[in-house]
Formats: sequence, structure tokens, C-alpha cells
Amino acid sequence: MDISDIRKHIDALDDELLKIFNQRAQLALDIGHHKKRLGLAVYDPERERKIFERMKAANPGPLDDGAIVRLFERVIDESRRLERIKTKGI
Amino acid sequence: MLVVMKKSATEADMRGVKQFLVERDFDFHQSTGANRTIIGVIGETHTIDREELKKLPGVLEVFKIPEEE
Repeated sequence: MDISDIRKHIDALDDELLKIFNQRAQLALDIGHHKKRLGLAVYDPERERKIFERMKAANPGPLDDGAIVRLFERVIDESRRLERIKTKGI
Repeated sequence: MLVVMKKSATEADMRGVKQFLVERDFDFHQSTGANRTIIGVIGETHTIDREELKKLPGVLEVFKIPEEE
């Protein structure tokens, strides 16, 4: 594969990631509505810890576990932010 | 605002800082380095009591980002 082919492949994966990020965010939002209804906190450190542990255990590389945690930290930060904004006043 | 955690900060310390921010309705982004974690706080950070935040376990320093002219 030449550079152009590899970039096309990366673009296709990025499109897929975009879709998956938004699907995940929507599900986080659905949970946010439930949490609001049940009076539960937006920030759930135990749940976050479990996600990181699960992802590290399932990580096939080449990204190391630290990188996986940092990526998921960011995804979770944004989900929490969305959840906080969208469930405000509901 | 940037919250720099101590090298010795524990998971519980991290949770404490995040809880502090979440309870006050702030968003944050955590950046975990090899030795240190930095928490970038987003929002109207002038309302945060910097000294109160600095006193939390595991916090090394709290930096206010200067406003642009």
C-alpha cells in the first residue's frame, strides 16, 4: 500500500470513529436522562475506572495502556460534558 | 484554569478534585502524563475559590490563565 492508500484507509476509519463517538455519546446521554430521573450524580468515578480497566485488559496494541486510558479519558470527559449540558433543567 | 496534581496524587485524590469541579458545574479535561496529571478546567473559572482547590489532597498548584486584552 502506498501513502495515498493508507490515508484513504485512515479516512475511512475516521469516518467510522466519528459515527461510533456519536453513537456512544447518544447512549451516554440516554444514561444521563436516567441518572437525572433517579437523582444520581453525573460523575461516576467507579464506572470510569471500570471502563479504563476493561479497555486496558482488552487492548491488543500497538497503543500502550497509558495511551488507551488517555484516549478514553477524553471521550468520557466529553460525554460527561454533554450529559451535564443536555440534562440540565430536565 | 489548570490544576497540576502532585506526582504522589492517588486515584482518590484525583476523584476528590474532579468531584469538587463537577459539584460546581465545571467541565474538565484530564491530561495524564508519565509523571503528572494536569486537569484543565473549562468555564467561568473566576468563580472558583483557587485557595480552596489548592488545599485539596494531591493538588500541587492551581494556575489561573490570564485573560486576553
